[in-house]
Formats: sequence, structure tokens, C-alpha cells
Amino acid sequence: MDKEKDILESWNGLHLHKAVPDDELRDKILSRIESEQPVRPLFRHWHWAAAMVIVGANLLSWWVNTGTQQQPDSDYTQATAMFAYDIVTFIDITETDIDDE
Amino acid sequence: MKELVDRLKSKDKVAYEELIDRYNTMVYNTSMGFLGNADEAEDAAQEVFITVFEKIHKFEKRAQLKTWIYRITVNVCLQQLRKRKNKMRSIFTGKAINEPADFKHPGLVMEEAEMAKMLYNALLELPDDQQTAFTLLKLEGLSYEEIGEVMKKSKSSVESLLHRAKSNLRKLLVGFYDENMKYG
Repeated sequence: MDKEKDILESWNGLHLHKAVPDDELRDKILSRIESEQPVRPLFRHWHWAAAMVIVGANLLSWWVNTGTQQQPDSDYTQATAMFAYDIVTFIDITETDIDDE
Repeated sequence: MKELVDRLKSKDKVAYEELIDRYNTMVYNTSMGFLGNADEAEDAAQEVFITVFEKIHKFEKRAQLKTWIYRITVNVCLQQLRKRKNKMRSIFTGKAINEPADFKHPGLVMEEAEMAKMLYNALLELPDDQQTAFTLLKLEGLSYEEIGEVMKKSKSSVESLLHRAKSNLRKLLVGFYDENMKYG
């Protein structure tokens, strides 16, 4: 007896008809597709542009202050604090935006 | 009228309805062949269409849409089988628990259930590529060329895979045949 032929005949002999899904599956898939939101980037282009402006402004402020004033260390501390405050504000803005949409 | 793929890319709802109507049975039937039960096949079918929705912008029409959907279906099903195998491992020993999986295909006649279960479990023992080629041939009825397109292999590679699949199945099913020949 040809065993290889047997294997094929066993599968053929199962008389499997196509498995047809319920109509419910169609509805489930469509409702899942509708609820899927496109993946949005955490930061958009304008977010990065805003961040660069903030960082740039702070660096400029630090550079001007250290160049013109007598106490650069204190100005540097102040600029760093402002920078940190801006970053926190910036994160707050971006998070609010993500929740809104 | 815009082509279906273009409408899918623009997230047109009617296009997705058309896509599901056209490919739902194909995806579900293939998933049934791999997974052997309706619940898992339904989950897989949902996963396939969500993947199409998420990845359609990357589809560059180098393959046919149907072939691409087959590929996604095969990948989703193989992933599901891997998860199932991991679940079946004993948490104490890490060894696989050899409990045969059911094969509850709706197109199956009751008297054939036991044989189908045995064949299906032997199929699960094969390497992924052999299992895929065999399932697409025997359960989905694809030609060698179509299987090659889905698996990104040449026709001769598919022939070789199927030859090895049959040879391995013969070894795995030797007990079953001996038993049948004894009493049959």
C-alpha cells in the first residue's frame, strides 16, 4: 500500500467544504475597522518646530546675558529655569492636543 | 471608478465593505485550515482585516491584493499557533504538553472527525513552511504557482517543500496507518 498516496487520499477523503463565516463576522470586522484610529505620531512637525524655537530663544537669551552682564552664573541658572518651564509647558500643550482629537 | 486599492488607501468605508465581502470567506477558510476551530479563525480573520487597514498605505501593487491578503493571513495564523504552543507549555517544566488540538472544521462529516484530528495534529508538527504549503494546497486548493506567490518561493521550491511535508507526515502518521491496515 502506497503510504504517500494514503496521506493525500486521507485529506482528499475528508470532503472538506469551504468554511463560510457568519454574517456577524462581517459586522464585527467593520465595527473594529471603524473604531481603529490611525496611529498618530507623538510629536508632529509643528511641535518640533516650536521646541526648536523655545530652545533657540533660551540659548540666545543665555548667550546675550552671559556676554553683557557681570554675573553669568546667575543668568545661566535663570535661563535654565526658564528653559525647564518652557519644556513643561510645551509637553502640556502637546498632551492636551493628543487628547482632544 | 477608482481601483479598490486606491479607495482602501483613502480609508473609504464602502471600499472596506467591498474588501470584506470579497475576501472574508477566503481569509476565514484559510484560518480554519491553520487553526482548526471557528473561534480562533474568527479572531484571526478580524486581525487580518485590521492589518490590511493599517498597512494598506505600504501596499505597492507589486503583488496582487489577494496574494498579499493570503500572506497576511498565513502570518497571523502562524503567530496564533505559536502563541497556542507557548500556552501549552507546562509552567513548571517548560516542556510542551502533548494534548492533541481539536479540528472542528464546519465542512467536516462527523465520521471523519477522528481522522481529521489526527491529520491536523500531524500537520501541526511540521515546520512552518511545510505546514503552510500543505495547508494552502490541500485545504485552500491553491496551485503550486499560487502557493509560490504567497510564500515568495519558486514553483520548484514549493514542490520540494510539499515533498518533504508528505514525507514527514508519512513518518508522523505511520502508527495511524499501521493501525488502520491491521484492522481495515
